[in-house]
Amino acid sequence: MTSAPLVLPLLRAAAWFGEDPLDPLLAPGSDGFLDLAWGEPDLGFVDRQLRRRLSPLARACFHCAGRLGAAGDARVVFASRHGEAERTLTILHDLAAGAEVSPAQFSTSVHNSVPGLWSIINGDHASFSAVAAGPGSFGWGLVEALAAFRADPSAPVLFVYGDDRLPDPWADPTPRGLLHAVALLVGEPAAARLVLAMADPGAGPPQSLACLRALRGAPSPWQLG
Amino acid sequence: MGMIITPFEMKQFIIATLGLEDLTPEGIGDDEPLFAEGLGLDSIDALELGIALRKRFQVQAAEQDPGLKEHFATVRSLVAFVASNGQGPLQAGA
Repeated sequence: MTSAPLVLPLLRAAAWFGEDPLDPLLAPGSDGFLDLAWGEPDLGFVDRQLRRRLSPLARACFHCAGRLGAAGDARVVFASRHGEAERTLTILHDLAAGAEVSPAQFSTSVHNSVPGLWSIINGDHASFSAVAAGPGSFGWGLVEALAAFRADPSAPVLFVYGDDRLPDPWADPTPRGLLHAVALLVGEPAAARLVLAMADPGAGPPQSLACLRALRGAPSPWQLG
Repeated sequence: MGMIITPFEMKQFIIATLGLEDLTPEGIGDDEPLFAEGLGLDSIDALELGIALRKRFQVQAAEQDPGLKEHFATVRSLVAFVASNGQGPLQAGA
């Protein structure tokens, strides 16, 4: 299957891993374009009353979005394969056991809770969307972000992807299950251009990691153009 | 029959229930307002705390109770509320 290449103009990029991704190309550090870190997320800009409500996934996403300094007028596209699955599963277990559901867990269990909380901490009324598209969630989220940018190229679009390891018995021991997040600020004048091509998202490494490797200069279906 | 728990234990219970990661029991005053201008808790915290109190101490909090807001005002008022309404096991009592 072929299609015309989709080209994303990128201003800046950031990534965060919950643990060492064990990939020399994904070593921590910043080159002024891509800021990559792992360990403790930097959430100093988040009010502590709100910070305590953030899941590990939200913390990962907020770290990356915060690194891009995009708060304000940027529209937000959030993408995740599993979203707040741990909270949803906890709620389902409580319901099945006839126990009362935690209101705090419930209020932040929906798929759009990460961009929703992001809009609250920034007092941001710009539109956002939340994408879930199976193993292709990263790629389809990028397509959504590109569509949003092309609809109005006068302002940047903040794309944030994140996923957390699923709780047992659904946990995936491969790199696909690694807690991590990637944020890309789509806009002009671009510091780099990412060329998207159709590929089977179920084959090969996770799309998010392949994209980061491309941004660090590795051969990848995700090319810099 | 009520349940006796100390203000210190109530503070530990609030911190653990609501994930107040930056707070210690010593940092909360017995008479400090828990909501809005005091500790800064919100309506979701109130619901969370109500359910946790019911699970742990079997406190019966009627939603129509006109005194409910006062019961949740401070650590001291919550301790008194549990003392007069709680029926839980004495594992947390002094």
